[in-house]
Amino acid sequence: MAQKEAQEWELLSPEGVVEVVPMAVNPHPSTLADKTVVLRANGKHNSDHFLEKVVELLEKEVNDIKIIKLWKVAPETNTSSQDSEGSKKFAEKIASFKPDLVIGAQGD
Amino acid sequence: MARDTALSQGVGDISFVVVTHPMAMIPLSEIRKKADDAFPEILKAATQWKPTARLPAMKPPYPAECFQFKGTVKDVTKLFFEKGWSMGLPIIPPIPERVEEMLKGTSRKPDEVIGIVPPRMGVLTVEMVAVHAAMADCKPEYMPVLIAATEALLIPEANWRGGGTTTGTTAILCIVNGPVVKEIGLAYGQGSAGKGHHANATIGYALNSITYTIGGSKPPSPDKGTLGASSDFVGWIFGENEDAQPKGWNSYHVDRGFKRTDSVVTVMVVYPPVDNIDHWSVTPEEYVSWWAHLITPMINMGGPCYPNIMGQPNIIGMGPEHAQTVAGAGWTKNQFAKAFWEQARIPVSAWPKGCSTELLEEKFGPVTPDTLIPITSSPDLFQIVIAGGAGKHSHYFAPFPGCLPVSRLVTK
Repeated sequence: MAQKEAQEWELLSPEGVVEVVPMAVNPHPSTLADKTVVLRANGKHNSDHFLEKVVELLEKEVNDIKIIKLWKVAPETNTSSQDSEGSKKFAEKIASFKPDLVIGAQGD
Repeated sequence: MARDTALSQGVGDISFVVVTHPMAMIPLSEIRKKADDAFPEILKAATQWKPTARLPAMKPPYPAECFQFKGTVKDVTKLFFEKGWSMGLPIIPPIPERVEEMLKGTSRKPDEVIGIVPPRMGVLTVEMVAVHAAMADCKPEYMPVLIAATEALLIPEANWRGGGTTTGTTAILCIVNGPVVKEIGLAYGQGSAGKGHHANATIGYALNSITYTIGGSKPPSPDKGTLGASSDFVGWIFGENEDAQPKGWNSYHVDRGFKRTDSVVTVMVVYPPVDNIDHWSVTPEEYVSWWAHLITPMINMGGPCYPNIMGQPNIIGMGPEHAQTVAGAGWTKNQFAKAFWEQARIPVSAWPKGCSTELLEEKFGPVTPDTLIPITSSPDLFQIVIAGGAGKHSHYFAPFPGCLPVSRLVTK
């Protein structure tokens, strides 16, 4: 049968290309002392509880750290953003606090 | 998934601390212990992490890469699967001649970019639709429906990303209305969303092939489906049974503002449907009552957990015989929707305690454990489609959070 015999194929790849605009991540601060840190929960069960404990530990371990609990001050961000436009709005909200670092709990 | 999401947004590298599952559904003491254990690593990542990975340069999206390969058809199928270009079922090798034949089914130019498919952010050209259509054994005349379906899914309100990345079991629901249904032989009656219908099967296969390969929705990440489903291969694709439309009722696409003579594709990312088996009701009142007990707000969570879902339309695929029971008594679609909305409710106390009522109360005011919560915030969010053929079954399609039905005209 022909199907059992190898043949030369010319094939089109179905993979396509990816379109993304490269984005650089800011360097992390070498210390969190005197820095502003935003913590963001994604709304999944326990994501806020996890971060609450992290806040307690940060406040205990780091001097003069300013903590912003995003799920408290901007509850509209306490969910999945659904699309790129939504992600942009969340990012703008986070940026409005001028954080030195953002810690997110991406639970599911 | 977070890593893949970052990559799709252009962030080649990002700092992660991995905390093992489960996170949800565990007591407060356990989640706090997990945070305690992870804290040293979190602090280290916060102050010592440096990015290393760089994103590859983008190639032009057209023409598709052409390559040589020696082997049998089986070898081609194996190659495509191993490269992550097929979902595990056999494919028809996409040779240039076959793709060119497919492109004859549309007047659209092959280099036209239809959109960027999440979560991978793959560029979907008309040519690339044809490649996947060829692999799925579509006929060229299916191309306009397939293109319209991808265009609809690319509208942000369709939330293709959500369906392709969730831990939940979701599928693409694709309802086709108008003359194109009969023109291309799309099944719209008995068993139309199931096996034995070439147009439905191959369009559905191609659509999920695009989701998988161009969109990169692959398990275990970024497709985090807990179980997955056979609808990951072929979703729910059927024509509305307009021939069985009760007198006085409009077709679904007309309800959505199109002309009866328009050919329209409507997509929505949905949870698996619930089959309403009802051999017994002889009045709309009985029928609504049984339906309302079968379908609760739990079907799509809603309520206190995700009250935003209550603002999303739900699609009721009403079997023709059930529709006759309702319409035969003189009921309109709106009357059915209102009665259904009033009865399909459960109390707040039915949800797990972990579902805070804060967001629900923000939207609807104070609630008590006894407050009855409807599925949707208003009855007009129930959209009725006449689905299938003879039999005493209807199907309820609940939306995935953030996913709305989106319709597109089918153009040649």
